[in-house]
Amino acid sequence: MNKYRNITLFIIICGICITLYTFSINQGKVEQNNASETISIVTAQDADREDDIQLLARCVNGEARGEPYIGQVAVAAVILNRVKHPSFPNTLAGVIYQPKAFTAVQDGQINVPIDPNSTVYKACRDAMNGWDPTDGAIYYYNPEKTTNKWIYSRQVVKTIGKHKFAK
Amino acid sequence: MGIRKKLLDFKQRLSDRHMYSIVLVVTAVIASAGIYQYKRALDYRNSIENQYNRAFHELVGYVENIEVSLAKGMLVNSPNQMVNLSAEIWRKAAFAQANLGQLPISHVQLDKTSKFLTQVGDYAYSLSQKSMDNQDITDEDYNNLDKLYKYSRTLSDALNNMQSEVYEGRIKFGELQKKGSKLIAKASKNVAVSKLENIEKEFQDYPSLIYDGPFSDHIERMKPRLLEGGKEITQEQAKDVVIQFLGEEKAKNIEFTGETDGSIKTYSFAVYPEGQSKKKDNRRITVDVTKINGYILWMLDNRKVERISVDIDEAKKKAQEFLDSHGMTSMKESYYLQNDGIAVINYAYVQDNIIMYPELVKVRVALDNGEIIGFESKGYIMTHQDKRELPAIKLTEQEARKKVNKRLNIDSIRLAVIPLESKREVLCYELKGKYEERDFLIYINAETGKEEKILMLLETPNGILTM
Repeated sequence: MNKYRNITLFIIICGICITLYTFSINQGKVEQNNASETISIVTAQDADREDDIQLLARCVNGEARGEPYIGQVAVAAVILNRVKHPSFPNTLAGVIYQPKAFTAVQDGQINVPIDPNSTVYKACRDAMNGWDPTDGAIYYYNPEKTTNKWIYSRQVVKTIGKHKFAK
Repeated sequence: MGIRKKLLDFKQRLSDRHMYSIVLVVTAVIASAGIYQYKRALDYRNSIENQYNRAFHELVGYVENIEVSLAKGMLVNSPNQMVNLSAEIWRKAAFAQANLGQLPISHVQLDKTSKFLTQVGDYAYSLSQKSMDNQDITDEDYNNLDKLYKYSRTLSDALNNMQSEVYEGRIKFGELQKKGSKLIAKASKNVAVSKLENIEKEFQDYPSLIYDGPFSDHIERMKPRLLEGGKEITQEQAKDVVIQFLGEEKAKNIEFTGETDGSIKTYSFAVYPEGQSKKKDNRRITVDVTKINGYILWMLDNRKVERISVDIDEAKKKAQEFLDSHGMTSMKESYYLQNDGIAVINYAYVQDNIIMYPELVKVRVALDNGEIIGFESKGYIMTHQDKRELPAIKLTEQEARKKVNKRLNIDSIRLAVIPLESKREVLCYELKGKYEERDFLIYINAETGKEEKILMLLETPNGILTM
């Protein structure tokens, strides 16, 4: 009986060790999340292609899938505004994949498949067709979660739900 | 007694049943798992590091090229050469910009550098346009080029310094990425970041050039034409505007949600036609009303469309009726898109049979019952003039047709005002025609006969896209 107890004890300890190892690989990612939580920062080409909608939808899905519809349109609009803005890359992919720009891209949420009931495609199309609830904003953040002090220096244009949108 | 005995006891147990070997094997397995993970992480880091180094290297190369080209630009004396040089600068600035956007450095540090690259590219482009129009490059242009040249030298020097530090191993880009924004706070400890910060500080005095570039600062400061000289309305009055726009039945449940403090100041409202509920897909109509004069800037209804029973022609009729009933009677439909049971139809204002493309209004129609579920009028509000002053038309239709490349089979011709870069608005003949089974629109300036723009029309099942 003692020996059985020893064996189970060892198996438990091994299990814990293996978990710790795999966990430590992810640790870096978690840190990054906290560091780059807030500033989501994205110039225009001529036409909106169908594949642009896919990429944009994935990013919006990663960033705002739990938000109300108008919030999703707003996030999509911010990304598109960044493409047009001189301070950001001039292509959609450039803006979305700019290092440290979007948390959802950093931690892989952009690769999460889009739920068939999701409204993100519609939201992206509306944003691409010109609906911009943010009036040209290029930043957004959640004041309750953000750790970044710089973002507060930007002029807030609008508040939608929990997020502030700024220029 | 207790601990020592327990340890001896433990040791005794270990020697039973080959416990030692089991422990050894398990430890070995865990250790190898750990080493494997570590090595994999190292590989990933290396490949990322390589990407960053590549991007950085490319950036330095392109910026140096721009510096050289700008220096040459100061000495160029013929329009031909100016065009060539400008094309080079423009191309390199675009590449430099693309690579800058791939560096693992926070946007805050790179903001002004990025702007500089964009503007130097645009300025070069506008100079090449000038040269092609046979306009002289003025002293002011040369002064601007000189300023740009000096700035590019600062940037180039700083980047070169950074590069040598990277080569000497004093900075690793991977480190920048790992430590993230903490580095921004500890800038003095990390040369790379502080170097770029210093560049940013020098650019603080970077003046905004006044030129015809698409990204000129003056565009962002553009004032909405329709609101000029108007009166500000109160929140209550804005609410009434919304109720009138949507109809009392739909707008029974209306809530003020805040103000927008952007280039067009608005009051925002949320309308719940089916009452408020916690459900995520609760129907909600969001509306923004301009503070001055109370125009509907945009309206968006998030309701789903399940079946399609209205065709596009019917939808166009409904949209036209909607516009007419809201006082926008002189609008003509231009293009439409259709997806997932929703059609978005673009309308442009027409004055004296001339279509004013900058004055765009978009109507979103549900294709199950023809209900209007969206409205967007920023283009109209920014650029509308009731009676626009138009330049004298110096070309006849015949002459315009002659200006078009013979390969195009012209189907129709009409007059239009089109928006070009930096919000320039030009009166043109719009010629529509076919080439190789595709439709094209060619715009010939009605005053000068210059070919202003070519658009290709892509017919897709979802509507017509212009490219």
